[in-house]
Amino acid sequence: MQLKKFCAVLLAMMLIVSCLACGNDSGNSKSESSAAGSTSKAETGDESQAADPSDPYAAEDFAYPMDGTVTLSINMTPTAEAELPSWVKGHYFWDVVQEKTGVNLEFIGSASSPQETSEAFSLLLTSGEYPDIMQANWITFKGGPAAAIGDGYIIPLNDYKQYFPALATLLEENEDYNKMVSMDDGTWFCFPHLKRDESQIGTGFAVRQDFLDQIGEEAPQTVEEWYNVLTKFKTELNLSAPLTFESRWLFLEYATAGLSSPWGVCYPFYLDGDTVKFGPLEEGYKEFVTEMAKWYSEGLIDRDLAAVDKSTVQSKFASGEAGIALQQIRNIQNCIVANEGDANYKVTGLNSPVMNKGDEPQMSHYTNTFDGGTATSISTQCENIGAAARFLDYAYTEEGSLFETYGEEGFSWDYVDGVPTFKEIITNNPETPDSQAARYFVSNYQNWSIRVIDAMSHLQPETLEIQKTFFAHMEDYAYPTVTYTDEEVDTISDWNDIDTTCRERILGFILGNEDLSNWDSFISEIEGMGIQDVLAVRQAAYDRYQAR
Amino acid sequence: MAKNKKSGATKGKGRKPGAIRLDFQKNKAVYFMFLPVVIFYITFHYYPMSGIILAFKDFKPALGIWGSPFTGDFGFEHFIDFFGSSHAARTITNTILISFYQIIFGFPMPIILAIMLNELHNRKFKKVMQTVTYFPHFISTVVVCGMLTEFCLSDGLFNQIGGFFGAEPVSLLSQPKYFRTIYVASGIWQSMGWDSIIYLAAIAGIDTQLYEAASLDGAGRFRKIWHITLPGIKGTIVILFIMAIGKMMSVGSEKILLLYNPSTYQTADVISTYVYRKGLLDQDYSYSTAVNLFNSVINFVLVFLANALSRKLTETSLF
Amino acid sequence: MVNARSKGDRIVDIIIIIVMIFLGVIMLYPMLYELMVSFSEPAELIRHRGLLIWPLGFDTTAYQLVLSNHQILTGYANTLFILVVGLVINITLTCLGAYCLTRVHIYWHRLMTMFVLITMYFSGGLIPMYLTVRGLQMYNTLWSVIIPTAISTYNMIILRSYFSSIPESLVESVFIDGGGHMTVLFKIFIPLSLPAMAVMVLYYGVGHWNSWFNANLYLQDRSKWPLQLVLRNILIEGSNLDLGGAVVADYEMLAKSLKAAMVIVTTVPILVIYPFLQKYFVGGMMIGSLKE
Repeated sequence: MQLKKFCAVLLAMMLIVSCLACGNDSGNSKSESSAAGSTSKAETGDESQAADPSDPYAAEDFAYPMDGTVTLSINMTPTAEAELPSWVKGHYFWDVVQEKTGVNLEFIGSASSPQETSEAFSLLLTSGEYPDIMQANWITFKGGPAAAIGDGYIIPLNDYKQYFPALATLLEENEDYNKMVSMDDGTWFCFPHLKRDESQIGTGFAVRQDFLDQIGEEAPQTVEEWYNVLTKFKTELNLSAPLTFESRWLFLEYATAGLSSPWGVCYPFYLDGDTVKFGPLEEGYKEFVTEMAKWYSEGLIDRDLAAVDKSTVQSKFASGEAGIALQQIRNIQNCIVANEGDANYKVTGLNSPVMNKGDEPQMSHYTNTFDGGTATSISTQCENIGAAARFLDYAYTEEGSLFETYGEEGFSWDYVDGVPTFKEIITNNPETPDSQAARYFVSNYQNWSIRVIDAMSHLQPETLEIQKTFFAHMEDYAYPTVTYTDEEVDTISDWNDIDTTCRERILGFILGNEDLSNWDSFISEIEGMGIQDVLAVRQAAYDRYQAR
Repeated sequence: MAKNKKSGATKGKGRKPGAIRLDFQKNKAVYFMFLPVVIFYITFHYYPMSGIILAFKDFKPALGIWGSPFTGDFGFEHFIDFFGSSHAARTITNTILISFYQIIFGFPMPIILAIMLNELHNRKFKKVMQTVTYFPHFISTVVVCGMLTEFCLSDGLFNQIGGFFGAEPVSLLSQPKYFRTIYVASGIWQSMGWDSIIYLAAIAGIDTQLYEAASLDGAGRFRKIWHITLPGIKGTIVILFIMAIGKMMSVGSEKILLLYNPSTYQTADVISTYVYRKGLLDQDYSYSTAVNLFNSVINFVLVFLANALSRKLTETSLF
Repeated sequence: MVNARSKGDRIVDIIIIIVMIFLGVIMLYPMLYELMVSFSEPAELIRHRGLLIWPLGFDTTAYQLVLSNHQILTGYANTLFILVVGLVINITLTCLGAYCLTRVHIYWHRLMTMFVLITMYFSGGLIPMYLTVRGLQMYNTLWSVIIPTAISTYNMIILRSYFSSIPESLVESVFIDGGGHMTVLFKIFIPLSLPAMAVMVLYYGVGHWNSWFNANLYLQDRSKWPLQLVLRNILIEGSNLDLGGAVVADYEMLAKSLKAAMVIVTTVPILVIYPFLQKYFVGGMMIGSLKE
């Protein structure tokens, strides 16, 4: 209780200081945060530093490490000291990061799988004792980040940006990033985990080049060529699953966007210019499903489409039962590695199919730069916001970002031809097998970071080549991570039922369990369930997003 | 084993306060022995039961259990949400049907297994078989479902066996009509050895003299099973059966999540998986509390009915 | 006559043995499969589909990874502590409770039974339980995984049903000899219910051995984690390693054999318990001998 009061007073004081500095008059913290958010962009930076020259965390000449007197608590559990292999001692990521930033971390609570974490997280909130730094998915939190701030769990960050210059600069210089991680009113609520380029497109088609050679075909591009190649795989090579992928991917965000790309649609919501669209409502989606149903009935798609899981798809592609597979890049690499001894086994990447020869592939798998699932905030019970922000900001500095991607320079990596490259201790460690070694040096579990661009360069060159073929223009179509208002949340919760119906019926159409003549009844069913309302809310949320 | 306490209970109702004091004096020791048990249940079951109220509230962690506001519709919003959803009826039906098949086919299996184990003469073989049949209990659901998925593929083990008898290969997990069979049968495989242990213990409690006497009378194996073994474990069977009825509404989500896919939702989607999917979208603790409360009430009513019926028919009852 | 009967018997015997062997195979195979997977080459496993009759190649990487984890030992130690202390508490309380519930002639009998049974159906859920554990200062101590699960109502009901098969005349005779309820419980009920006690030890014991959920909620210090949680974490940490690149790919290749190795490492010690308990399942000597 006392702690809370103290924090509130501290918060209030800081607000007053910063507001006086920028000459704003404002009332309570909630309504003010937005005002501060929009105006502070232009002015606060320098002036608030001037307001309190004695604040070491805001000083112009601030340098890491800090003086080591501050202890920050955080909700996560790193590997225990006793668990570390002996050669790691002294170089473990969480030890080094404390050393480099000059803060002491106190780890509380656990962070396991997402589902368990969400349970553990409600418990943490219920206990009333929040750590200084809180990691959570505030986007799926009931009421979103606005509720998290309103209910008093976390603080808006805009007034403290003197403490996190690296992130602030990054966001201010990059309009797109800023849009993604702000709330609709411009409030910053977290230190985001930002994905870039390669780590955004990790899923795509791979084809057995040696099979293509056997049937004397080029890598297919148009839908017709795909159909032709798959048919030949079936009839000439007798493959049991010419094309295979997990059916649940049809309904995951953009996992199979590549497949429906020729028809210009995908599941579920995507952008067409500034209009939000829902795939199944579009005419193109029906055509896509019709084509897939045809392929399935002719045995061109894995007969076990509905039932196969990741490892089965991988086995089928590795053992030669499948000709084309839609997989994550890491699974494609597994298939290649597993067949290293076989000189015939050759794999090339395939871009999304197109309708007409010469068209450019449009859609593909895609993960938003900021997906909300990984966000780190400062709690209302944090007593030293300056130190906490500085600590988190380290990840966005050039040095910090390299460190979090590769570990300590000289110990786990070195520049080779100007490119950071892991050393033997990671790639070929006799004591800790199979590259597990890396997990002690990189920011495992760390939910605030921006990884250096070529972090994927430790994929094998062959696989990297495959991944390059996946790139289309999905960034133009992907629906961003938005936040909803209180009234919208009720409408959005209808989506669960609609989604269930869509999954069931669409897969049914493809498998031939249901005749396509029922398509219209399917559309009217989901309209009856309120798809138009959900779509309208999505559109409104997107419009607000654009206006950020 | 038959609990003939009916007379005692009716007598109790007519007693006067004096009788209560007398009873306490007489049975002090029993109440004293029960005290630690009462303390345990109050601390770890009854006190936390206050959480049930969250079913009628909008839980906000910062406000705590008591401070959170009640939902709209007089606190019944979560219930209205659940029953109002277009899939509620289907998930409830599926849950009950799966439980029903589990009881019909799964309940007798451990009993049969225990009796068969008891009929083995070779001590060593018996011991080995006992141990082996309880192995599957130790394999995690994830692993079991991984193997099961593999077996159910159109070129998997089951289809190979089917093919041997001339059946066309089918993708078993893509067809709604096979889902319950696969789920229930694999459940039996997983648990029948483990569950048979209770019955083995009950059989071990039967007086061996009864068997000897029956042998002298010239009774055959089946007559001995019918007239000695089964009556000997009847009490255990009835108690476990009543408790199984009380699990009608609770079909766990873990295994179904690993085995189902949209094409089998029609038969596979149960209450717990539905709540799980909803939880992925918005983590709503009080919504799942509300659904659980609904399940609990139904379960409790079912147990009550089963118990009353059993008291009439078998003179054995849970309470 | 004796011959005729044993002939029919023998046929039934053979049928039973055949059924048993069939059951044995399908129950044993998955465990063998796990054993074979755990020793197989990860790369070979990826290319393989269907059943395994023999390990694919020979590779101990998975075991190295599991056993190179220094916390496995503390995990074993914690689990053992929880198992032993937990069992003592479980068995004591369950026996007391089950015994009291067999006293059908006392006034509050029905109330006591309902009091216990209701908890099987209604529970407040995770959050109030967590607050209770914290309130009792058990948070982050091993007691938090022992005390809140001290009695399983299901087990207590099973034991009660076993206890109530003991003839009431034996109880009376103790009272006549001047003994009290404690004497009845310890001198008559428990010795006469050894098969049921063995079941209790097995059910509670395996429960403790396999549990990780509560530990995950209540135990903050990793040095206090039981074995299952330590192992789970090896898997989860590996798969959370989000580099998107080769590191994860390697790990994923290993995942299958790693999971299998964990099943073997955790299961073997507990499987050993059962044969020790089996001698208590030998038919009906108890009551027979006492009645003499």
